[in-house]
Amino acid sequence: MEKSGVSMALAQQRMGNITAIEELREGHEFLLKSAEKYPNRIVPSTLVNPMIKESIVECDKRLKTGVFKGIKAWPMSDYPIDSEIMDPVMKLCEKHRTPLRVHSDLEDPRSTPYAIGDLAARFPKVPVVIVHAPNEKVLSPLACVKVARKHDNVYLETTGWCPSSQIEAAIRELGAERVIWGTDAPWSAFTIELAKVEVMRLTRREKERYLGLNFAEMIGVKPS
Amino acid sequence: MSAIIDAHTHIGHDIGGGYSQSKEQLLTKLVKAEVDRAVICSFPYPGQNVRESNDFMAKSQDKRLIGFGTIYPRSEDAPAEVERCVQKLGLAGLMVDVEASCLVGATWGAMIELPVINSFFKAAAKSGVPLLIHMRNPFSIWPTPGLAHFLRRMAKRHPTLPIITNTLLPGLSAALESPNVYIETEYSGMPVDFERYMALTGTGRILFASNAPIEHPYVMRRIVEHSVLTEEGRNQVLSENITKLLKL
Repeated sequence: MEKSGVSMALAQQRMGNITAIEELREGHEFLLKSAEKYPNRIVPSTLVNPMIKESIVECDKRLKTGVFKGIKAWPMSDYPIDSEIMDPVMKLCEKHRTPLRVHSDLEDPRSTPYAIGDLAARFPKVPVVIVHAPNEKVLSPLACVKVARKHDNVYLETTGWCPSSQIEAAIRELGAERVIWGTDAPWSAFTIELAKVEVMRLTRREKERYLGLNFAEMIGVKPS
Repeated sequence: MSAIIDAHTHIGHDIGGGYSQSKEQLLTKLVKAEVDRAVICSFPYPGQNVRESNDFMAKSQDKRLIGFGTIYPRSEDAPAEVERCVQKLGLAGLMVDVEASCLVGATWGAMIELPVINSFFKAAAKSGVPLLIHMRNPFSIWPTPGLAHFLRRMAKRHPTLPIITNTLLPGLSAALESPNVYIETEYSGMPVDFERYMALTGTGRILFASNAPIEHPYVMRRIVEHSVLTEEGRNQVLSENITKLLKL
């Protein structure tokens, strides 16, 4: 972050099929310590697995502190994102006025952009972020853009294998207010994701929105 | 370091995906990326008039742009078009797009003995230029481990034919057992992918490639530069491997 001039980052624990509440708690504790060590630089995110009932209580407890921002869902733990099992999670997002971020994959029925759109439609007050979109490798950019165009509370986050051409096309289609920059570090690197911004034809205002303001406003933080 | 070459770009219009890129736009990107030369291919699509596309590639070639011809291997004219591309048009390589050219049989295994496919591969091997097996989307339903099996068999059957595959193909490690199979960095959207390639092959069979206009060569260069490479490895990936393949 220092080297690349990035002031703040949302950090989450490792994904994977986490089935034990202890593992989730441990991940949250680690994130909390990191955030305490680097205040105003590292913002911790909660991770939920709605298949583990206690994880809702765990997320609620963390969000109440005001330190944790947002809830991340990873439907590859084997739950369909548009099912009722997600309702308590969405109610939690409403309660804390915080976004839901969802790992997405066009070929996985549990987490297609369409399924995420259906969930967003049932909870229009909750900002819902499609993570790894628009992404040619895994997702159809048309699907993500179409879903975001249909639902005002859907946002696209470009972490992952998103080519610069498709990110730029999404910004043209939806406006810079609906697209969020990210790296998924350590999978990608700050320098690489910033290089993509460098080659995109964006105005200064569009860059500011995409690189930070959109997400900072969404989670209610002021970048240092 | 000798000339840096982007081993996979496109010019023209992409009927299927809506992309387009002129020769001038590509050249501007190469300057920004400090890349000296680029391989240019058509945007493949089903029903494409490959003769016209190949004529266009031949006209677009210059000292910076190196043309590859597009071939439909299922066409009975494929061997003749291979010869025309290399002998008459002076194109430096061949490209087969898996989806656009309907290079799909009941199974990939069954394709190995299909006479029309074998006629094409014989002609390609005879031509002395590399063959790029191109996939629009490596996560589509066509690039299965069976395709890696098919490429492995074809590579073994034609050991003088360099075969370049451009994806995170499932079963790629099996295809790479043939030393004439190469991989290019398109779709290595993250350094982790690139490092996975290196673990599979070392750096002697990896080719720097952006797939512009999908990705900018400047971004793909940052990915290569970010990866853990020795000076020698970097030279191989950015320049030496493709230079040898194209006999430049």
